[in-house]
Amino acid sequence: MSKLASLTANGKHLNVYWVLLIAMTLLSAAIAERAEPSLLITIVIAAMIVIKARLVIDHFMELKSASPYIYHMMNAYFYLFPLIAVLSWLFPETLAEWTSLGP
Amino acid sequence: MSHTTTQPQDDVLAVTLASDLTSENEPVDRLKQAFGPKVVPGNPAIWVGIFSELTEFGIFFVIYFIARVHYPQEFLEGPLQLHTTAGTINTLVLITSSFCVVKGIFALRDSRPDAAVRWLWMTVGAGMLYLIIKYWEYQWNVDRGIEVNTNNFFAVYYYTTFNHMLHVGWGSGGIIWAISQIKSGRYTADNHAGLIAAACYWHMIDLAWIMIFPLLYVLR
Repeated sequence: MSKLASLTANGKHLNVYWVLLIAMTLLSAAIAERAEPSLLITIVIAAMIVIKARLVIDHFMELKSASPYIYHMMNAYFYLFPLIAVLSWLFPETLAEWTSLGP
Repeated sequence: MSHTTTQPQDDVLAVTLASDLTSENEPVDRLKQAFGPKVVPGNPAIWVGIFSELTEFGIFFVIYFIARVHYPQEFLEGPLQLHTTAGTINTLVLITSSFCVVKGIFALRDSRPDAAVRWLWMTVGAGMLYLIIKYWEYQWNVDRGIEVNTNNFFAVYYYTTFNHMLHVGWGSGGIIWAISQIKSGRYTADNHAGLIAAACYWHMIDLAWIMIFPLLYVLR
């Protein structure tokens, strides 16, 4: 058994993903405290949501080997909302117009 | 329900559960066609629950985006008034709790039930820590005059985070149930579909917070 296969079999590879998730969370917190709002910051945060969600879905939930319906629906959810976050930064007036109840 | 404890392997659960429920072959065939050769982790019922919960959170997220484009000033200033450190610590706590759950599953698969129980108790402990921090954060907000009706941003903040907090509460109950099943010997290395189901639900709670934290505390 290769070293990587051995690590995966006993779950030690999960430690690496945990460290990555912690690091990205701390980066998000630093951005929240210091960075001014911008399109770039919005894209970076949206990308981090996608990466964190994929790490949890693929490795903690182990959905990679699950039904493709479940796997793809879970992934789609965590691509869709970060995308809306970027779109709501780019086109706020359009979204406000589309979601207005009045004439 | 005995269906989840009597299956020899997780990966045949979807089909065998369906065959338990009906004597007709046709529904089973349809289920096989729907999911193909891949597995349904835990059991099909938990995925109905998970997608229902994600739909509920999805409605909250849609409301967030609609409110945000209609009240940009409130959503620009709101995150600055929240306790970012409390939100960050809770994110770290939930990610760690998700890590503990899957480590517990690996321990049980490795026929180390005592280690599995320890990992799962750490998950429950993380859940309790999350609830304590959230309660403290709400108190901190109220002391500064931040309440549900302060403005639209805080209305979205309270409804979303309170709803999430409830999920952490009953998700912890699910993990405690799984612990009791391991301790009684019902869940073993080869038969622990119920633990997988509880774990998937817990990961869903973590995933929801992975979305909530940046939307409410980080993005402006």
